Amino acid sequence: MTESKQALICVIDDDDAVRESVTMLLATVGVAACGYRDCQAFLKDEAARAADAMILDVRLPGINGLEFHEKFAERIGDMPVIFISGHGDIPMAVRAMRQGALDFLQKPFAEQTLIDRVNQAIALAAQRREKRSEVAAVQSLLDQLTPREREVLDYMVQGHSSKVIANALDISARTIEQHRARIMEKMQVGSVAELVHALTLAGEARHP
Amino acid sequence: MADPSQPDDPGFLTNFQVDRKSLLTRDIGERLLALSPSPVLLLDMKSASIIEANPAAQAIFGSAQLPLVGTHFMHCFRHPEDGKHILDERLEHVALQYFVLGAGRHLPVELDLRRLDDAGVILVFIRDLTSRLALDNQRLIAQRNYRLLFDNAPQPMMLLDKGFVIVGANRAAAILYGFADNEIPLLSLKAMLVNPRDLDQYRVQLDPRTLAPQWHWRTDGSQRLIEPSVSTLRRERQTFLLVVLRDVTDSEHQIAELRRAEERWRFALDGHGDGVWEWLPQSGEAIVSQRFLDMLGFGVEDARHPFDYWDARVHPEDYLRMHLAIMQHFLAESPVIAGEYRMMTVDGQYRWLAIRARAIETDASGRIDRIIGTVRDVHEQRRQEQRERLQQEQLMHTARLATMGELVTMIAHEVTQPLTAISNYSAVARRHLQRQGDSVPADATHALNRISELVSHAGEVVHRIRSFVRKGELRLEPISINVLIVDVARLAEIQARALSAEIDLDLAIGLPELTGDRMQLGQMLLNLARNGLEAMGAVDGPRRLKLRSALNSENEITVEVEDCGCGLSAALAMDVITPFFTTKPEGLGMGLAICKTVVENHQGRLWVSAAKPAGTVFHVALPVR
Repeated sequence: MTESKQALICVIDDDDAVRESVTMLLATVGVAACGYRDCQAFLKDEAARAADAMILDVRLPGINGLEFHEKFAERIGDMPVIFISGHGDIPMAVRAMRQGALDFLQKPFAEQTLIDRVNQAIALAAQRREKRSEVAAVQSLLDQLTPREREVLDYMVQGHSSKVIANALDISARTIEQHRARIMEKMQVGSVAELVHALTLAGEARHP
Repeated sequence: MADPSQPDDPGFLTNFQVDRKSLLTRDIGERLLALSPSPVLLLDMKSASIIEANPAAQAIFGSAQLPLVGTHFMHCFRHPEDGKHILDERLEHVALQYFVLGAGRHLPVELDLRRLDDAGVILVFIRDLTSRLALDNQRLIAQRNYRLLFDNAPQPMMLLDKGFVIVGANRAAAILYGFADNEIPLLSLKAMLVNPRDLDQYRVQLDPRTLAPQWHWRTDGSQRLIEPSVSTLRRERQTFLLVVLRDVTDSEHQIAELRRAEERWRFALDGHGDGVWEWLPQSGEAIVSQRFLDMLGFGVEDARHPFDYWDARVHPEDYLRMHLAIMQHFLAESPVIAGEYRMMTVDGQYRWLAIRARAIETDASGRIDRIIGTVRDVHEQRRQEQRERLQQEQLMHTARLATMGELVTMIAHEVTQPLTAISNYSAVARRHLQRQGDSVPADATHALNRISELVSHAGEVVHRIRSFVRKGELRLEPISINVLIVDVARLAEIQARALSAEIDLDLAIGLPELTGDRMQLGQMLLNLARNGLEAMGAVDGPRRLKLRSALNSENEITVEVEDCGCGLSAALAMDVITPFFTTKPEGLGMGLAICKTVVENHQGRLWVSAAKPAGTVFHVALPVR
């Protein structure tokens, strides 16, 4: 886990005292927090896009936390969300978890639980960020391939031999061999196994 | 010729009758005169003076000192001209004449005169009427008195002949019938009878007798109920009927009328579905009608059980209540006996019956003689009422539960927010202190730890109370929204009527069923409907509440509740659904908040908009799952 930059948490709660106390609590463990009294305020703040995670109250003026989580999933992105609620019930918690929340905490919560969840969220955010950059790297390498090379690649990760690919694409096995070498070079891998791993990570493995 | 071998008188008389000619001799006349037991005078035809007077005549005139013989016939009369008149007119029979007597006494006599022209004499046969007239006179007086009595009696009376013609009537009778001059003309009784068949009653030979009351015409066309008493009178070989008339129109007529009315009612009620019963408390008898018996499954043979028989079939739980009602009526504390009681049917089941009864006859000492009542089968009605009351109670309970739930939610929210902050703040303080190391007093750390523990405990208590109140979890079942709307409209109808408002339904056909809690959704819609009705309280024009159902493009069932009340300003529309917001003085402001909670429990939405031209529309959208 990379601790290079300080983590930033968004706290959305309409209660000033709750917002402030959570912010102060996170500060004691070196986590920066930014408070918003409702979802609109969060949406208006562009700086919030850089946040690692979000602590979201369910009962809010205007659109409530659960609805916001559901309808603005794109804006929230892969930011882990911890719900806090003064009147949480099981259906509400189930809904939150189904929507991909990290946890659903009932107020008042033990401070350590919140800190633990926030640390988990930060770690998860870091992992996601790391993965995101790896995927982006693979993607940029893939972008260098020609359409024919990409076609050949899709057959390669399926484990087909050059002869089979040559038959399928109706070109000579020699030409296939040349493509293979260029693909390995462009994708910066030494084996087909490495190539499959990279493609799986990027979610780019597909049937030709 | 006289026969000397025969006794004198009869033979003579026989001859007298047989041989008229011989009578015409003076000798015989004289003999006759002497022998006749009746008084006879012999007058000289020319001078009209008395020639002879037989002993009987002498006895009548009664005195020897009066020189009867030689006296002029005229002077035998009180008024001498009477005697002259008789002779002058050659009268043969004089019904009544008064003779002058010696002592100055008048003697009533009847005279028969025979003129014997050949002999020039007149025979005057005298019949003394003294005793007869005395009798007649008495009768006359009595008759006059009776007449007077008859005429002036306060009781109307009339005299009928054998043909039932009114031959006499007194003043009271004339007044009764309304005849002018207090006299009844000769007319047939039949003409007076409203029902001519009543005449037959007068023919019954029983004396004296009182006939059943009958209606008689008055001259003005009105009718009186008459109870005639008839007795037969025989006078001078004629038969009359004396009829004493009693006008019972105002007394017994009323009772009779009441009876008749009662019978009519009994008939009407029995036909209509109400049973009738009658109770004679003095004897304990009871009579119940066919409908009464039908209700309890009894046959016609059970119509005359004593009161106790029916009394014993009253449900034990209702018994005391019923008898209290009866007692209160007996003590004149209540005008009627009325109540709903259960009675056992013939097969041992209990049915709810509504009883209404009243004493209609009391005796002279005020004790109740007769009670008449109706009975109506209210079993189904009662059960329906019970069902509706139960339904209402359930709704009320749901409403109370919802209100309490919402209140607790509010309180929980208001409490948990500061609790959360307190917990966080104390944690912040503790963490900062812990960094100071050993220099921090142990009590400070302990105090902060205690704060966290207690907050946590308080939080648990709040959650426990909340979960307790929330016990009434959703009871999900398939619901047809239109059926629910119709039910709600029926319940709101009572309030609508009170506000003279109308509820219009506009329901979409073929809506899918939704899954939800019937009680909660019904309560929510009823709340919205009542809100709408109350909002129209101040509207002058027609008050119309519209309930609409539809299916929108997002596969949600929508219900709109639209009133034409004063409407809400845009600012109010935002706040109206929040808890504790109210425009009603006695309102708690929870109604719409509960509605919102209910809708949210069903993953639905509730919002407000303005209606055109005036009023408010509450929209509910519920997803079909």
